[in-house]
Amino acid sequence: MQSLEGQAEGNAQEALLMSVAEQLKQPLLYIARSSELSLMEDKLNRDLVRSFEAQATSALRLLDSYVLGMGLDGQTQLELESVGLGALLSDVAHELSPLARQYDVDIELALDGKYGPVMTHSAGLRAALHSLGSVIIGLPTSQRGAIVRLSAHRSNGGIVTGLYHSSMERLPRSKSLLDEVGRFERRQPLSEIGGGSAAGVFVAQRLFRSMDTSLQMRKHKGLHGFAAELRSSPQLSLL
Amino acid sequence: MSGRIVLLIEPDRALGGIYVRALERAGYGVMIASSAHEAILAADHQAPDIIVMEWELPGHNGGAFLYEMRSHHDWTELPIIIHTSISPQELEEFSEAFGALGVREVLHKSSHRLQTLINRVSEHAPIV
Repeated sequence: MQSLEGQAEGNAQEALLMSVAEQLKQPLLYIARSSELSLMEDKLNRDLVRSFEAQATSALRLLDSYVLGMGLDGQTQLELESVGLGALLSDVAHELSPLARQYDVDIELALDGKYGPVMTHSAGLRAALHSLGSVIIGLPTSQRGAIVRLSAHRSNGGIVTGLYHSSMERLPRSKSLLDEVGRFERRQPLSEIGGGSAAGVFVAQRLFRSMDTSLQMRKHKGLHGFAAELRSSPQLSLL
Repeated sequence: MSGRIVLLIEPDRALGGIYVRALERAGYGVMIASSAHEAILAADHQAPDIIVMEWELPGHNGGAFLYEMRSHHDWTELPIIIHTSISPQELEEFSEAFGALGVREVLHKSSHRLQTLINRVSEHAPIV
């Protein structure tokens, strides 16, 4: 007989897959309807093709992250290594920029202070930040020139890294919200912040948990968002 | 803004831009809102002739917004089209609410093309 724990994990995986499918509808809809519009207008330009590329790339990254997260079966930990966080965040900011342009959002990279490498899993962290980015960038906002900040700063326990949005407000249930990741009690666990399924946040949470940390609602210099605390690498002591 | 006005409530900004262009191309003026709150403000600012809205809005489903809209006597007869990503099966539970709230059409973004949306809007709010 399947244990209750196993059943719960199975239910969570099924719900997460549904949620990812919901999130993937948006880029596919964008590509399908943009194509239809360009045929109506009888014009196909480079900007349109770039927008297709940005949407498709975002969808593929979410799928990659999901596959990586699911491969970990909720128990396995990714092997942590010493990673230069600044360079990794700089790459991620660059990679998220095309999608940000689609949503008229500016990506701001904020690396506060000096710090050495952190203990994480390079591919896992990159995948988690991309998943998170796919949700944060698409948050509904009427704000012109909205900002998504990708940042790292020191904390008592290590280095905090995450993504923040200038239009995101503090959620009253924020502390317990992310604990719902394994349960998926609602179709839209993050409906307070967006109209979509926000699956990317839960994919990111799964990845962060497999890297010995967890995603939390945080505030950074006036902006709200999601971030995780990473341990400094022991190599830091040699600096 | 002149002529017929569509109030489009679409949380996804990139996707919303596509629908705005398509409706404008068909001759409509379009006000776009990403949430129920913004939609109320927009409708207060300029009365729409029709509302096209996603059912799944930030914070709640579209029902709360429609109850609010329908409570204003100016908007009791305003045509409403639900244009949503939610699957037909999931929407079944809202079918009674759609009837009570005077929803004229339910279109699914996945299966209904832009031209269908334009045709339905033209049907309920024709440009004369």
